[in-house]
Amino acid sequence: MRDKRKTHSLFWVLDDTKTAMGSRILKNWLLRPLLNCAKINHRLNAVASFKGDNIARDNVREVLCYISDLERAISRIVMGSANPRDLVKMRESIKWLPRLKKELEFFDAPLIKEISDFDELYDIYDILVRGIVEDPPLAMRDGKIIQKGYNEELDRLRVIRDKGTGAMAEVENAERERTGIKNLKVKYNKVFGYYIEISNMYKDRVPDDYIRKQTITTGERYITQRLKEIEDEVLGAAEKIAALEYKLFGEIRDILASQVDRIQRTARCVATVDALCALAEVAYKNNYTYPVVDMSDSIEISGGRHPVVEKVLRGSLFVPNDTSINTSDRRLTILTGPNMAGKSTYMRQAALIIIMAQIGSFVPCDSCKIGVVDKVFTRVGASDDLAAGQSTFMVEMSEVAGILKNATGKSLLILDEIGRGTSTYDGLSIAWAVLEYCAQKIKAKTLFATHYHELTALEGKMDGVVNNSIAVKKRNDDIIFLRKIVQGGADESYGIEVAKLAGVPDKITKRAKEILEGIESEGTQIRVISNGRRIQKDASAQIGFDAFAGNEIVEELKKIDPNVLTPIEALGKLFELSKKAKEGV
Amino acid sequence: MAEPTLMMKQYLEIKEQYSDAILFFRLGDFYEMFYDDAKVASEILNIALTGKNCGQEERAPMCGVPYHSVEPYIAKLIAAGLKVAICEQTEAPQKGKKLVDREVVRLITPGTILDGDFLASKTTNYMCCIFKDTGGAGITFCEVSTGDIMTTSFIYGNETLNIIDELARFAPVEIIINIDGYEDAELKKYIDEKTEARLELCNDAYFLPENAEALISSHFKDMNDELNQYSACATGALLSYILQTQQMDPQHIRNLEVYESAQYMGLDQSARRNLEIV
Repeated sequence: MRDKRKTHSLFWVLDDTKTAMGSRILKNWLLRPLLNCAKINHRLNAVASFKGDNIARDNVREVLCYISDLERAISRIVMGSANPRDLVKMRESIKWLPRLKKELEFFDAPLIKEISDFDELYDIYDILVRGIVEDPPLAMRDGKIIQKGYNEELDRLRVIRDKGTGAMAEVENAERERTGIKNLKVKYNKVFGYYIEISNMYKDRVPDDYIRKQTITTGERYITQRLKEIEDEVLGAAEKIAALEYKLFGEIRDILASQVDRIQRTARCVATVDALCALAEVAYKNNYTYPVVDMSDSIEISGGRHPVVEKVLRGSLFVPNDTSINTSDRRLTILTGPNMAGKSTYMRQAALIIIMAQIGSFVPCDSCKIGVVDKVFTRVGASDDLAAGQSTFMVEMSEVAGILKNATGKSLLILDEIGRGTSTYDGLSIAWAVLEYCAQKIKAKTLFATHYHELTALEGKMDGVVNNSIAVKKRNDDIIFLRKIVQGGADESYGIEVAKLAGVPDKITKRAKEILEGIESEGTQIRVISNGRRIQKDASAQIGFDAFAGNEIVEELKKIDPNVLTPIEALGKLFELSKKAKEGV
Repeated sequence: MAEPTLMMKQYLEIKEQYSDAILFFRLGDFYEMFYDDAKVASEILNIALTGKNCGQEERAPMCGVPYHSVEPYIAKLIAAGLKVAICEQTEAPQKGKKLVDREVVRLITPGTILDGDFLASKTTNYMCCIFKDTGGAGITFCEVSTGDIMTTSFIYGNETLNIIDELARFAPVEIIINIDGYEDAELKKYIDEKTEARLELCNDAYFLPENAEALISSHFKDMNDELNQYSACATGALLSYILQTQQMDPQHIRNLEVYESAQYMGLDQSARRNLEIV
């Protein structure tokens, strides 16, 4: 229940664990990537060792399959809510510990040696084997839990009970013979206990010493002195057995609870083995490589892939890319290129590879060297705050403010389209200023994707700033994304081509092209033609909607509150407006 | 108004002590809920709302679930963000006595769930306790189902953001916080809008340093020296909360890890969201 596992997360890719304990510890690693180089390499070394021997690793993982959630079982035992089945699960898991230890002997990484040195809990296994039957019921009050031979008193009571049951059969036979009633039966129910049932046919043959208890439609029910005696013994014993079993079960539970420390330590070792093995398995299956992690200031990734996107695309279509950032001559990379070409994927990929390396995982690339990163910040177009009443631009700027305040020279910054939320020249100025601050003041490693091609002029003028772009192939009016990062800035943004690719009607993209050519040839002065009026405006100001005042479509646009529209409603509205616009032409 | 029956009097007395929880009142083979509890629970659980004649003019709204398969019902209420109080009959029915004793034996909240049936096995289930005043803040996370517990504190300014980052890191299912701490507008906004955690607002008496110190020294040996006051108050309050809800000493929670967020890579809430790490 309440399993809200997300697919398409990094955890989703890496979690190839065999036990719930292993899965939780791996998640914990992902929540807390390390900064200590020695600890990171300690883990990496263990993963490499597991990755190095597929057969031996498979053997370890097979044993792990038989080990259940010891951590949660011992918690329930301590808190008194464990049932007999929990104890059986624990017994069946502990059984495999010596085998697990043996399978781990094949690996010699120091961390594996450390965690293989776990307590096999022989004494606890012994108690569980001697104490609990093979397959006990879930309920605790009905007996059938404690193993024969564990407690003398219990064995004695069970003999009495079983003898009693045998005695009942004897009584049945004896009474049949005595009375000559062939279908005489000894039966039991909860209200009357044991009784003799005689069908109506033989009622007249009932001896005098029978005491009638109940009349039913098909016959009569009786008890006898002898039956009552045996019954007292049997039921007394059964009651005592249930109580004693419950008490003994409680005692065994308390013994285990007193060993909580040892059980938890062993569980932690098993969980760590599982998590490390999972990382090795994933590295093997996905063709990851050993990252060199050190305290240097540079990040060199060659042939890097996005671990999640690659998995979704099943590997074949993903185009690998290099990433090279340091704190001297390549501090800040300005990334230009059209939307949808893969800028965001490329930048996130670098962050994910670094995070993977710092939890001690192998990484999706040909080779890489990672200088430990202390913080990762991202500023990527977010829309979920729109509903909270803040404007996109406000959210963007408050996030930027937070980043600039908290980033250090050891941080990685991923800034995507800074300044997009406001007018062109405001946005460009803000992007420029933020870029300067990151490159010169914080000196953080920064990937800076932008639409403002003006910024590419900073390469060579500002220390540590370099241009990269995403390669695009243009054929007539169409474009093909090559998804390859290349040196140098993009020559144009291909916004109109992307719009066309996305299905915006030809009429509109053609008109956009005309406007673009107009703007390009006339410089900063632009003309807006509407309703036959000709308005000139300085380009530094936003083109106000006033220019279109009175236009029916604009009036309608003003009435729309995008925050309350569902995507479907929005699309419907767009169709409606588009239809009106076409009719107006 | 007519006098309520003896049983209903007992119910009302117990309910008064657990007014913030749905009270599961054991009557023979059933757990029954009454009045508003019954109305709320019958809706969430999709079970029939009936009534019981309890001596009053109007029948008391009532709904019930069988004791032997109570777990899924509890899980559903917990998932809806409610707290459930389990009230058992604490003596066997005796002849000549009209009313058996009843007592709340356990409180179940999203963070204190132990049973395997309620918990997705591969999901972490952290609860946390925050103590924050104008001088600093402490936060302690605990996974009651495994015994993991860890604490950290912030005293150099920026506490609000730091606390938010830790909340983003562990995504707790239940948050205990002192009233002053919850008055921090930014923190309140984050807890209310960005987390799905159940909130337990506690007054300052819950966070007294003396109590915390005593609890910590009895539970974790020699840990007081390693904790600053903020971590100690948060940890102490968390322990009292567990003791109070479970009515059992959580002996499996024994290795208190004191960490500093600077030991680990800093990933703020937006980075975690954008990069889709877990």
